[in-house]
Amino acid sequence: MMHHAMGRTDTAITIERVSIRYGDAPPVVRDVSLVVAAGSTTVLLGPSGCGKTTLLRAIAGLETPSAGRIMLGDRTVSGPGEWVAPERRQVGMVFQDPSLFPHLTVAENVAFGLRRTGDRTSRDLRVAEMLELVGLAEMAGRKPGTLSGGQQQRVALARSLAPSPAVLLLDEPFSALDAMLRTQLRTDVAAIVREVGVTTVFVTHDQDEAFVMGDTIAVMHDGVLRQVASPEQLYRCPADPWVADFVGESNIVAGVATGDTAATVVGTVRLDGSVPPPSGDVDVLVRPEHLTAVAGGTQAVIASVEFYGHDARYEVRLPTGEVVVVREQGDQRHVAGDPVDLHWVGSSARWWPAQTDRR
Amino acid sequence: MIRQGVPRRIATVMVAVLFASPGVVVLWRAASLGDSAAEAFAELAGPAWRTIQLAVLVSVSCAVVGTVLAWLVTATDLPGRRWWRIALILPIALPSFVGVTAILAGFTPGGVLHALWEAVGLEPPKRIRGLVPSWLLLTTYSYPFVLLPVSARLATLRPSLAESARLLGSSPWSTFVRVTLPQVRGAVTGGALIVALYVLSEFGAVQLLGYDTLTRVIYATRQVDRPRSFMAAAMVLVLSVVVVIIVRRSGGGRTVDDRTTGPRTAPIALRAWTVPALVTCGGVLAVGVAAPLSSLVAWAAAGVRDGRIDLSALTGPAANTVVVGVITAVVAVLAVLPVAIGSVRHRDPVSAVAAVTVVGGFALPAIVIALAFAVVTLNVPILGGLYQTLPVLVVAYVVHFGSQALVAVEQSARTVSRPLLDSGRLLEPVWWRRAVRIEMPLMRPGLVAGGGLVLLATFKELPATLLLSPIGFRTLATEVWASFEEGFLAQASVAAIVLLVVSGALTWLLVLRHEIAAVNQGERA
Repeated sequence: MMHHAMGRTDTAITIERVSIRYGDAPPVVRDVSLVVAAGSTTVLLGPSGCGKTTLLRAIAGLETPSAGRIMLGDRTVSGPGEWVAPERRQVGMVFQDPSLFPHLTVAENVAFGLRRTGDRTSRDLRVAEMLELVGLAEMAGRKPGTLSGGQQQRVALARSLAPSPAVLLLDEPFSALDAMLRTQLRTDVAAIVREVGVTTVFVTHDQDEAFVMGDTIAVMHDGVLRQVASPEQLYRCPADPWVADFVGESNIVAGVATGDTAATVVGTVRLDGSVPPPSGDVDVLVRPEHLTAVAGGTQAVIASVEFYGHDARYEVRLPTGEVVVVREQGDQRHVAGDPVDLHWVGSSARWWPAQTDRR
Repeated sequence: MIRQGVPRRIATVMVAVLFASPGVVVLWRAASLGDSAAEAFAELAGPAWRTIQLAVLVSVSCAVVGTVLAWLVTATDLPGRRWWRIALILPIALPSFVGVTAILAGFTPGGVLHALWEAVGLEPPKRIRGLVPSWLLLTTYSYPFVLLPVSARLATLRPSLAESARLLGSSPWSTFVRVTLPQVRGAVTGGALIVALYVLSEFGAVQLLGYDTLTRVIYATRQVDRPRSFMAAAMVLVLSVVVVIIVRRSGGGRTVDDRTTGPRTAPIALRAWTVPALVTCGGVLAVGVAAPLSSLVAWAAAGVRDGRIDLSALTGPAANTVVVGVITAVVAVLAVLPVAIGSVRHRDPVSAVAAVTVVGGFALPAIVIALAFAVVTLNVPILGGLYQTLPVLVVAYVVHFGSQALVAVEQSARTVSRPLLDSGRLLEPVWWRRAVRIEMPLMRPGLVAGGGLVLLATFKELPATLLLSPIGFRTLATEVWASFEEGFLAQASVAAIVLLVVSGALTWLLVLRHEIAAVNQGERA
């Protein structure tokens, strides 16, 4: 846990041993510590109900932690005996639903957080600049109800960025949109956030979104932080089998290790050498794209096929009855019922000492 | 549910004619007054002005009180807010003339409020009359018409709107003014409209408080000065229409967020405002519930102690109230059924016009409807035998309260969707069996609720009953009225308590039960 001195200027958000609970129920967030570097984008990734949104809302001041401390820069905004109201935190937030004020125009929405005491022209300029940034300059006079869902979220982003917040919080902002729009918008938002350079915390349950948006990904499960890592590191070296399965598709197969290899149902696998080589029973992470099915085999049978165009996904039944997933680039080479042999084609595989209750 | 549209259309037209007839009769009579019109008009300037004054004052104060209370019980950390949220609806079960009766009885020597005033060393008010008491008391009995829709709206408002405003630097108060208030405006004006219409048609309370409004003129002159009576009725009618138009205009514009929400949000901390907020809620309940109830109970108890109460005298009025109420409820639901089905399912112009006339029946004060029907039955030879008979009373009730049934019946007609009807048609070819097997089971809750609302309304109705009921036919409402006028305060109080128990039970079933369920659900989510 992090107990070293905080307050370095390159740290935008410091979360120290924060727990959040409602009444007597078990805590929704348990003892979470996390540091977000200034100007970076951190993604809180986890299944629904894991506490990621609650943690985000605590940063904004919309939830009150029952324990722990939250600092924005050098300022403690919530901690024992300390509390800064949400309107004084200089935090921008975009919600799941586009929560634009329906009685105000697009421009009035964007101007909402700007000081009303300042002179009018500078405010108008800022509004125009923000709408330009999100590509909606021509929509200034429209009412939110006349905009599409994607446009509304762009306006919400412009509105939250207009007062130049110290931190931008995004709570699954694309989840209400259809798939095509979501892909386009997340690319645009990632670009805007990088252009502005604002420290961003992004909450999602979608791994693709997390990988596109995040410099750092914090995986949460059941209120606990499971792993904090870069996207690549997270995919390669998941902290535990649950993370491995949540971040990308995975086969966890049983193996017997000798030296730096292990004998498994999918053949011999080279084990990740970052820790001393094990011996005995291990669980090995075999990514579907690290397997290939060779036609005319005798060990296994193709159980089902899903063809995606750029690749094909096979479920392959082994003689033991286990089913493993195989993903191959390019054309579809097998149909259901084909006998095949499996080969492992990865460079090295993540492994854990065997779980005793595995079989 | 009717195979061809023709019978339904005929029924719809008949309903429209029935609902429009009182207004037409009143306007036609007023227009054909000739020379006496100008004279009557001039004489009515005072009552008209007082009516407008009272309607404006009460609806504005109800809008403010109802909105503030709704906000306190839904959005803040007011101690015991779930309890308050239910308790503050209770004055709706108290008909305003009963409330005023109770307050007046309480302040007469021997009344509990009189005694309380003396106990704390104050001079009990000798005369409670005129504008200010009317304004205050009508506000205390009418604000729930604003509280209910506004708290429903506040409860479904997406919290992210207010949260966004907070994060953009708005204080809780400024957020309420800049963001929340514009979102509940429609609910506030809708509630205030109902209050304004109630005040325009209010008779019992203003009569008791000696505040001379147009309805009071109608009552006083209905037999001795017909021109004045009809001119006054026409003025009330026009005022009601004006109110509806004003609110329709101001409530327009699709700038309101209609999406509903689930996630809970942290209540706003009242801090130093907690005590003033509690005092406000407590004060409202004291005037709206505690004072009238304690007065009634004290008088009733005194009456029972010295044996002045004749409970058996109440069984007749109680039975009359229930019987005429149930008949009215059934007739009203049947009458609006073709209109509701037409306007929801077929959307034809006939149904649209009929729906407007039905809703218009609510805007027409009961005393105006009663006057119209009384004059029609007296002057049209073939209807002469109907004057002061139950059928005419029921028809007047139906015209006045039909709109309450219409809303519920339309809602239930919507539960039978077009795809459902189509699949029903493929599975069950006989139309009346479809009606029995598919439509009735689905619509039943709405029909029962609609009938229940009408039933509740008839229980509390006074002026139309006074004008139209057969000689010697007393309901609980007229029993309260007559006993109080004759000075039998104990008897009036017992009748009022019986009326409150019956209408309270109905209110529980129709309104409070759902409200409590909604509150509990909201707290769990």
